Amino acid sequence: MIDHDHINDLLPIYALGCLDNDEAALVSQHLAVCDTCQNRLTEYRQSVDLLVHGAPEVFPPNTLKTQLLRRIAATSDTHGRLQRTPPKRRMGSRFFPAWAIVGLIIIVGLAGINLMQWQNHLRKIQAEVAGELLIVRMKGTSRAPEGDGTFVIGQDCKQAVLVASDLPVLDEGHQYQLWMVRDEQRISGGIFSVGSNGYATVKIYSKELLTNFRTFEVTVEPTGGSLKPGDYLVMVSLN
Amino acid sequence: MPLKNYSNKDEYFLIEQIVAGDSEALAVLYDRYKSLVFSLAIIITDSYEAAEDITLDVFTQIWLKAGTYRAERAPVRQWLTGIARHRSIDVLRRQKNRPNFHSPIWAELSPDSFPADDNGPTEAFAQAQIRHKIREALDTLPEEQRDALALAYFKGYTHRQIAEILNEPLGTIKTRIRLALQKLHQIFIENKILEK
Repeated sequence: MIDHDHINDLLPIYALGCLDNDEAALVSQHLAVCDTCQNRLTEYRQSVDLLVHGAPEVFPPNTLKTQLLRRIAATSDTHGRLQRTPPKRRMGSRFFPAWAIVGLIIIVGLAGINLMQWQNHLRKIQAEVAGELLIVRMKGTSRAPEGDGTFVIGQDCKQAVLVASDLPVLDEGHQYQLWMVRDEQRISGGIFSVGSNGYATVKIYSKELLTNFRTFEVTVEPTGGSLKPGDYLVMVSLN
Repeated sequence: MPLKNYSNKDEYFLIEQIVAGDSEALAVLYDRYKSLVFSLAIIITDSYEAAEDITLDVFTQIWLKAGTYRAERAPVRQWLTGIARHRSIDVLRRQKNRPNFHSPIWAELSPDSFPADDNGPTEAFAQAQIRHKIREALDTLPEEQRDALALAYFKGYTHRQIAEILNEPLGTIKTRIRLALQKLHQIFIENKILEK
């Protein structure tokens, strides 16, 4: 049985997002069934929220706003395609081409990786041709309804990046595993963990063409991964 | 096409407009919160360049994910600064050579200043007053509580890491942080920064 006092002790740290994964999972479980602690947590979070005003005030350069507006103008069409347009059938497949490299950089940037590193990697992928990139959208299942994923396949169709967001933080005993599905066969694409904000990026290097796979899935597996997927499916590609 | 005037609109309206694809609404939201996001990113990462990237990424994320915002969960400011903080801490953790430990410095109490603010002088004054009250509240905390809180909030250290850094028992760190947040909450209620 969970010690209420122990949870009380952890609530302020939980509100700050500074608990270890296993303790955070313990508190999450308790909060799901305890209104008292949930209310206390809300109070702590209100105070945590205001701590931002304790940072010395610094203003960004005026040019940053211009950069932002240019960036969103460049992604507007891409965003429309990603969010509202059903994927076009291409090569009889469920892929559709990315319109702009800028869109890709934005997507990857949102995942919280080092932008400079990714831009260098992106240039390598595009180095051979004036590249189109293939994008597969992924959505969370009922087990992770807010989960979102973008699977970006490079020109050679053997390198890709999965950008996952809004996935629950797992305890130390579990990780997410990507599966590439073809003819009922599931091949592991890699394992990953998300950061405290639910983001992760996974680089995939495949021996065969990624376009050979019909579907991509993400499951929860024991840390280190599994040879075959379990049945805790959290994200699937959209067809 | 005439410019829209969103200067008096609340954030919920702006978010709705952003969902509808209105970039002017995003521009207004940016003007309101640019310094909050940028200041947070700088104090967390200690890098002006990283703070610029983070600020761009945060507002781009707002643009792309405005449709996921849920007013019942948190005010827009809390949602936005939460994204900024998480993003900044992630960048910090990915730095190969994380800066040597030093306790981040809270903003000092200073005479009210009203920086150039696109939202107008009334809004700037109101924001400055809130900032001042919050900094006054932080100033009432014992130094050891402020230090522990700063390491948790601005650097994303776990309580175990903070205990190690400050060479204190884990229980002591937990108590300091709990007492700090409880006292702050009480002061925020008394000063009507928060509602009871």
